[in-house]
Amino acid sequence: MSRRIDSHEFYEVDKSGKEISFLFDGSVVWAREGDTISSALVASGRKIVSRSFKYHRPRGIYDADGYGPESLVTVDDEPNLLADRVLARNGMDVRSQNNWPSLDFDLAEINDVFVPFLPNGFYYKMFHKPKWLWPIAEKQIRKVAGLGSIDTAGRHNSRRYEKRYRFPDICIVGGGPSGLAAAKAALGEGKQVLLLDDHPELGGHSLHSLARIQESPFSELEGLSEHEGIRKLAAELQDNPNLEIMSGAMVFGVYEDNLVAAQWGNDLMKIRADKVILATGASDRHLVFDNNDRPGIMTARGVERLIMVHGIAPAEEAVVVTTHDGGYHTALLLHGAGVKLKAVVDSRASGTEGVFEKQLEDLNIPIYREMTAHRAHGRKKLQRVDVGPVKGGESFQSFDCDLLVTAVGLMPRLNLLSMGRGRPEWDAERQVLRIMNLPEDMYSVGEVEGPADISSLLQQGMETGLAAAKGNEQPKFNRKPEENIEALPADIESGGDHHFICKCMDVTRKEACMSIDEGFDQVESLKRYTSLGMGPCQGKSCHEAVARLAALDTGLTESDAVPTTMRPPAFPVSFGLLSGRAHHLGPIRRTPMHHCHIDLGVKFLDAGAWKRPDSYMDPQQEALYVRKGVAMIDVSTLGKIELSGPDVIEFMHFMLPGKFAKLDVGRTRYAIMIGEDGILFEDGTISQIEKGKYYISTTTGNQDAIYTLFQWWLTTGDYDVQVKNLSAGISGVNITGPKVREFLSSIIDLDFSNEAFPYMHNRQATLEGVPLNLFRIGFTGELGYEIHFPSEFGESLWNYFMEKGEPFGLKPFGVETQRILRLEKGHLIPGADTDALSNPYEAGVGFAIKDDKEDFIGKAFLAEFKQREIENRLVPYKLQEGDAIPIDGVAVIADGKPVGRVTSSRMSPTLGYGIGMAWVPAGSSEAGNHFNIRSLDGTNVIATVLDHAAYDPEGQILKS
Amino acid sequence: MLIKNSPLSGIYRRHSANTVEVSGWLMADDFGNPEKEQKHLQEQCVIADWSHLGKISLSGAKASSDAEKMIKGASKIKVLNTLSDQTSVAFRLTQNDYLLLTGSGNEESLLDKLKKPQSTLINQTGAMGCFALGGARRDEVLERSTAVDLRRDRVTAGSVLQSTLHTVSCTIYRTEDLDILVHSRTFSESLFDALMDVGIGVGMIPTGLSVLPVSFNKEDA
Amino acid sequence: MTERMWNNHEMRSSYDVVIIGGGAHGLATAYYLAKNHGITNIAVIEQKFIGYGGSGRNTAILRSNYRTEEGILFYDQSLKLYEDLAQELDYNLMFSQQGHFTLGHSTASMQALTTRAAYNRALGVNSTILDPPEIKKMLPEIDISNHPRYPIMGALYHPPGGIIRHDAVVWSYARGADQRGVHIHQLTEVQDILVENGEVRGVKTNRGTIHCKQVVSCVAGWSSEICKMVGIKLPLVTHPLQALVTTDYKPWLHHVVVSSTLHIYLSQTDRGELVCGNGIDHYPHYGMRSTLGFLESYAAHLLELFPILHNVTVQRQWAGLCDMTPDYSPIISMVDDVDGFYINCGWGTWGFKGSPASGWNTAQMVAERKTPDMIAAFRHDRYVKNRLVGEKAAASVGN
Repeated sequence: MSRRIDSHEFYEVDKSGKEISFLFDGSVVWAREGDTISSALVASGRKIVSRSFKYHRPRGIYDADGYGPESLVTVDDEPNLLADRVLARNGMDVRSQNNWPSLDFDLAEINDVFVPFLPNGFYYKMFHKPKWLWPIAEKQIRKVAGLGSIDTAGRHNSRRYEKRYRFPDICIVGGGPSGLAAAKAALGEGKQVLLLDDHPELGGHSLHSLARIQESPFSELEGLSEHEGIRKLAAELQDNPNLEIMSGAMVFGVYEDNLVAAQWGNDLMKIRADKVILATGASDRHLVFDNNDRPGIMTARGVERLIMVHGIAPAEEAVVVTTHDGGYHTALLLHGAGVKLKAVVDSRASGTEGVFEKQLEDLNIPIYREMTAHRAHGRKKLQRVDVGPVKGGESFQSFDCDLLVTAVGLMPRLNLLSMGRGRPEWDAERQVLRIMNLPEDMYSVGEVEGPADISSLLQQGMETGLAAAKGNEQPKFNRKPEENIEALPADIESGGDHHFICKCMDVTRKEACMSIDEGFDQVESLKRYTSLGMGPCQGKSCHEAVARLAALDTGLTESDAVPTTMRPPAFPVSFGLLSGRAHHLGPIRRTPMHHCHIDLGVKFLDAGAWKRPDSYMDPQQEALYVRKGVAMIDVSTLGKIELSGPDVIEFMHFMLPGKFAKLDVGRTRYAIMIGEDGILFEDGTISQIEKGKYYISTTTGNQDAIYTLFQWWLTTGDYDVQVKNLSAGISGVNITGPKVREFLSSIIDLDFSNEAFPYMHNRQATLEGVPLNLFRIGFTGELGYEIHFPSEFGESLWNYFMEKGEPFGLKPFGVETQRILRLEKGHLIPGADTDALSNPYEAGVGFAIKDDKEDFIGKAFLAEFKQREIENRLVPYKLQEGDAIPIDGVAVIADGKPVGRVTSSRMSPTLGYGIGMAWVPAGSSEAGNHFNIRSLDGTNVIATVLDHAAYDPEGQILKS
Repeated sequence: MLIKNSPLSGIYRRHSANTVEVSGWLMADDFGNPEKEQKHLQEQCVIADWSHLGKISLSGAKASSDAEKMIKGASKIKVLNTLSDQTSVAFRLTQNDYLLLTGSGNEESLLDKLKKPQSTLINQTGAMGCFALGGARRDEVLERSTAVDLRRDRVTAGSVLQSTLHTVSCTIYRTEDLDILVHSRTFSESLFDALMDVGIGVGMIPTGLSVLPVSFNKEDA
Repeated sequence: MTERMWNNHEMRSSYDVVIIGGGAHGLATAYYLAKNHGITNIAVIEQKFIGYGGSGRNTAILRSNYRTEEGILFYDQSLKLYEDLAQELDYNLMFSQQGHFTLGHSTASMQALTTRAAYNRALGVNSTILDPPEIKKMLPEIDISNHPRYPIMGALYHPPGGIIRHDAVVWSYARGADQRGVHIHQLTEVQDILVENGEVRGVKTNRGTIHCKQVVSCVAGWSSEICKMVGIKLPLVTHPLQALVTTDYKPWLHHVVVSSTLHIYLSQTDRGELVCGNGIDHYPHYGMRSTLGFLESYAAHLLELFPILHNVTVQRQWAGLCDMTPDYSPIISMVDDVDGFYINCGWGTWGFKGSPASGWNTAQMVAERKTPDMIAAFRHDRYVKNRLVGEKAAASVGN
């Protein structure tokens, strides 16, 4: 059965769309190009499209515009998409949701039968006693909860999303008459304009209006019918080079400072505009009566759109319920499409003798006055409608029909305005909720300000466009009395239990009233208790009904019962779209030798943004190369900061707890950094490499922070100091092991003897034209040299060392190996062995603090720490041979209570037993003390506190 | 003398670039199909690695007078504007911060003009990567890469600005025909990958110095 | 006839105790004062409506896997109270004790998680460390490959953790308090606290002055303002915290998943929506507006963990305020200089899970006029003495 119409009495039907087909729940649906899934389903005679959330009631297409929850479907494994908004594509696989075994026969509909018997908020009142019941009940509830299913099998990355930016002078949301008029006016002022519209064709509701344009600021439109005129206006603007049009763009958010966010195909558009004009229009009001959710009950504009845009007659027999002349227009369109009109039911006492009303009278279509819909009959499709007095009571008459059209006024689409921080207010004259105090540089115009005729919309659109272009205030417009549509009372006292206010969450008016009686008498708390307006449509279809009902039922005035804040996104947007491309999680920092490491088969370690070599082979084996031969590690990630200038010593004395006045040229010293709170957060070395030039090397993680800290403090004091961050420009390796002296002597023209280049000294040299700074330091505990050079030579130099080192057995080693080696030496790593509460005296680096200085960062708290007794201490320890190595982080236990923790714990390849560092109570922190480490599996090992280092405790190897 | 490597040396290998030595640097000459690359430059867009360019930063109260000694007229540049001659271009990033770009190997001669710097002067050549984007569709790559307004009636040829592309801090120098992106070398490969990832949809391909030779002249890049 | 959950009362001119703030903390305090200590002449003063603030804006995650002994014992008491709360208050709070994962993506975070597991276990709290294959077994949809930017190295798994219906906790405490005679005054704003000779005398509101000898401030983000009225400065910094929910899907995620490296946490409710939260916004701010940046970064991070969520859609986003303390532990404290004034604040991102124990101990403190041992470490003057309770490692993502 096809509901396509070949011709219409009042306009020419466009039949140019190519025929295509798709599957709906496995059945073939024929469609035309340009159809949405919804229009194609209606055209094919399909009534039920979805099942409701809680009661599994059958639901059909309602507004054909995606403002309600009825059209949620799964398309090609993408769940919860709006069939109203997805264009039909050949071969797509569309499936209904939330039903079993099928859409037409859904067992869970049994829930619906219980509605009258379930206490309001019953889920709060059941299943919790006895205590064991709830976990069982919950399991069952979770089995039936939810709407669409997530495709856990994949196909998730099939779409490629982009993020794109735009910076127009004026961004207009809504391409209806007022939006188009605003665009035209702003373009006339020479502005760059971006116009977004959520439908494939510009024109908004005017596309389905037969009204004549009597007056227009654009005289060429006068005398045309509205749908012709709007197309003419749109066509005229189409080619303007200063106008960018995004059709089919869903604007889902308006954020701080005029940031407009939209989904445009697969693109997330982020639009930062000087001015934003919101011409978002209005939707049909939601009419609350018994069974007001049955398939076949549709909004006037939905029906009009199906007829005029898609060329579909949505039913056989129809009843139109209306409160304004618009209903007559819809009725006429239906008639023209060949639908039999059983009645037009008008809530008003008398008509206005408008053209459409007259035409209907001429056609002898029965009009009933001072009436409205009381009740719908039929389950899977509408069969009959009872109509009766507006005040409720006894119904007057029943009509058999398969379509009930509600044309009961318009409610402004306020979502985007609400995000602009405005609060809805009830405009008693226009009988709508409006948002009147928008932030500066934001304008609203058109039906979002209340219903108006085409002449007003064009005129006001134009004036608003001009105001935005000129930077003037939002113009204030009046409405003609005949433009206002009185809000029909939403409560029809006609009995029944199924007056749905919120179709997303299946909340009835009765339920809302009971909740109010329970004490939820604020709109916000009512919403939270009943879930009103918290479903997929986020109140877009019901917020007005909620507010007006709350006003009635709570006794609040209409001006007090404002709807709750409407939050972004205005339409659901996918994580894929929001995430965009793969580079979302921050770029990777690479050292110049990155690809050398890959060639050597490295396993990388993530260190902040850096990739560092973790190891190339077994770290235990790598450690032995260091201890017995010679090996090289990439240390390019260390921070390198050069300080110089007349006040450099004074500045360093303020920044650091140590003293440096006696650090001669060519000398290198260990240094720590303390926060203002006295906490240890960093260590490194300071070298005077040339007269007055101090070279600081920092840890990888802190390089940027420390440079920033230096800069920060430089601005606060009157220091004549230059700070240079050389971290990226200078790279380095550490070559270490007993054979290192022999190796380096063979390639670098420098005296490497202990006398000429002692421990904790630095030297400069040149190698194959590359300038080098060499530092003899000993983090690994072995004779070693850290060599720094310009980064552009990193790759060549690494390869050069590897090649020249081969006869000496040179091997690469990684960070994990370095961690083992330093642990054998008992060297701490700030951050790994310390945390945000570690006092440097307890951490054992008090020796690097010279507090006999006038002032320096952290001095006050250090003084307090020094005064306080040592309570805990970071100590090196060893295990017995054969004891299992605990994992980093396990607890130190005394008397069954946790009293400390292991920070680093490794097998020592050199010594053959476990070693580590741990925080222990002061009472058991002396060398030779024992303490108890408890693994997560509950087993305990006894550790022995060491004096300083497990390997080479005297430092003989380092210093010779 | 050992060869100097661009931070994109890994990319060269991945994309089989033909390399050429320029002032001690091993740089991409092309990426295997210069004709195709030329066509993309003319009709779509390309990205070229100019990391070998000399880069010198100056900051501090005396930056302007130091810059003047190296490039005549530099002290008169307005903030976020530039001054170029055939071999060098000076960016004034703030009142007290300059970045000079110069032909590869030309740094020393610039530095020689300044015997005793009064400002904080750093030779950043090896610390920074540098890409050039050429071709008409490069704006479409940029609009997918940065949240900054790069509308051509607002950021005109000859301007420079500091922003982030794919969260990497960049100095963006705009000429009539090119956008030149200077950034920390540590992020070069990531930035290249990110730009290519969005660029591929608008026909961007990598190219080398034979197709897009270095030029600073903002009218005639 | 429908029974009211709580009643609207005329305001009396004096109460024994005035509690400022009608959130979970204030209402729990009122409830336990009435139930445990027989003090019922209490007013709870709420500026908006009950549950308007953090109690209604959090992501309803409960757990007790903290880092310090003080934190673990306190939150363990809280979790145990939660376990019996539905029976006690005769209201289904839908406590879904589904287990709680905290993922580690670096050696540093694995070390911190291990310490938490070790401390938890030593103090009788059920926590353990899982390796990636064990995680995958319980969360089959998670990506444990080394493909993501920050691969998963392991997790702290805490079986008793879960989610609860947060609004219902507020309502049922309110009902429990109301039934015992407590007056709840909504839409009532505190304008000043009256102090004479170092003793509390009353509270001035927009509906008149109330005389009382004891005032408890449970106002979270507004604590600095209330404490200013009695001349106390607090080391609180208020940050926005954002969250979102997706549309409803058939339940597939049956555990709470948190990643501190990626700054995200998520769970799926019994209704089918995913409730997703972030770390606090970096900037201190009182604004409760949501940002697009939050949606974007959250989405990017989430898809690292669960690539199958590519097509899942966000339905609503919102923001709340967090009163952050320097050590990420709360302040529950008497004040030496103002007799009868009690501070309950600094709940940052961990306030909802602490509500029952907070109310329990605060009530005891007010009734006995001395600090219970359980909360001795949470005194407000610990910042002056630099005696912090280091929970930062356990709360870096808030949940």
